[in-house]
Amino acid sequence: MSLQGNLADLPLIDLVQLLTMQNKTGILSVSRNFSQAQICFSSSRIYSAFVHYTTRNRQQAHLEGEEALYNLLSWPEGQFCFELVSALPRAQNLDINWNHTVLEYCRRQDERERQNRLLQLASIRPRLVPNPPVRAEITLTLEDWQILLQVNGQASLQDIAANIRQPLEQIVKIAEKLKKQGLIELDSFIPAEIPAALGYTAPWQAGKSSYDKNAAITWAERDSHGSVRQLPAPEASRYVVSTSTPRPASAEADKPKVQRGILSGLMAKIRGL
Amino acid sequence: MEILKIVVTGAYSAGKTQFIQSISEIEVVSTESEVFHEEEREIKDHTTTALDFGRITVNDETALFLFGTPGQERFDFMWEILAEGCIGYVVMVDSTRPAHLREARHVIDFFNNMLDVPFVVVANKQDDPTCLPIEYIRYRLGLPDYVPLLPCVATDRESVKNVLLTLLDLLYAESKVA
Repeated sequence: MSLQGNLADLPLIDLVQLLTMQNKTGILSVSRNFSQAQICFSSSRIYSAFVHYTTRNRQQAHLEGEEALYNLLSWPEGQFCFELVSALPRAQNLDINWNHTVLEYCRRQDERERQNRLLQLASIRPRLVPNPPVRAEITLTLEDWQILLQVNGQASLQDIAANIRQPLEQIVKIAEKLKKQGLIELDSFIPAEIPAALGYTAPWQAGKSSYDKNAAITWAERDSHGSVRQLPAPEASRYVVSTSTPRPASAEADKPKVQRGILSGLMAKIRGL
Repeated sequence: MEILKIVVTGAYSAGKTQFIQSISEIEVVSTESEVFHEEEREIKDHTTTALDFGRITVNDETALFLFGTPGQERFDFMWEILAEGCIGYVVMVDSTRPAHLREARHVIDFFNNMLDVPFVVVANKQDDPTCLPIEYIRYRLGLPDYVPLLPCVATDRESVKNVLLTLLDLLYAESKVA
């Protein structure tokens, strides 16, 4: 028996689930560019795994066991072939629960994305909203005030964190809360230094009072050398749900508005059902 | 009478009709027909072809209408029709079928590009022992943290109530003070 395909069509998570359910003993080989990987299955268990790959400075590298699986899980594509064998060629280096491995991989990915997001947000320079919405009551803590007093359109979130000696993560959390309350603007989609490098003029630089929500969103990131790279749509789509079609300018105006009293009544009714 | 409209959408066999049936105070108006595609028939033998309709009446002046969309992409012309004027929407996801997540992602993208209203994503069938963990579903759907992803059992009214109340909470947060 031989099963062939591409990870782009059948992701490794689903493929391994399928193979372990089949209770087969065999070898799954995956290749992509200059990287090779193998996972050996013994009945319904993952028996061993390794990955050979070439690093950016053309060095050969090798991973085994669980780290090899984490690396392989990050491959977006790669030709695979599963073949049945009567005896496995390699020594066992794994005794894992696949679901736990997938969850741990997700956790690592989340952590990486959280760090990336923090890095992106660090350079944002929050600004006070000129005409905040009128609300019955806004409650601010001492920490909220400390940050609000630092907001001047010039200091980045990183600067504010350094000024008041608080962790960046805490500053970002409070800044997002202040944004939700309509007190500050973050322009979180376009970090401060990136637009100019991409030839994009931010609305506030063009004299507009606030960010144009109907503008097409551009995604970019800095590489390790500090160069700005525009992200292709599929990569960007991992970060935000809405990616491509800019909404028509009339969409905001057409948006149905519901009064709070009506919503409260409806919520009470549903709670009572 | 003020009519509020919420759309319940999602890919094929995600549990949309059941979701509406569990909460509607009227017998759900359903446009189900027999499934003839063999692959789809392996999953269920009847499917929604135009819409499901349920209602929750608040008082003489206000009612909430729930519209369920057909799941198959070939009926997607109905999605736009049903979405018109809705105040929010619920995207149902079948937690037991990993292969279903790609279709679910497509539905989320479609509605998110079409509508600028609050929405929640619902991981249905969480009572099934083979269901996928919530965090895994979030990861596979590429959902940012600010989009609520709620575990749900569409046959359980309390679970459905929790979903609707979460969506209404989002609406409340961005509504105007009356």
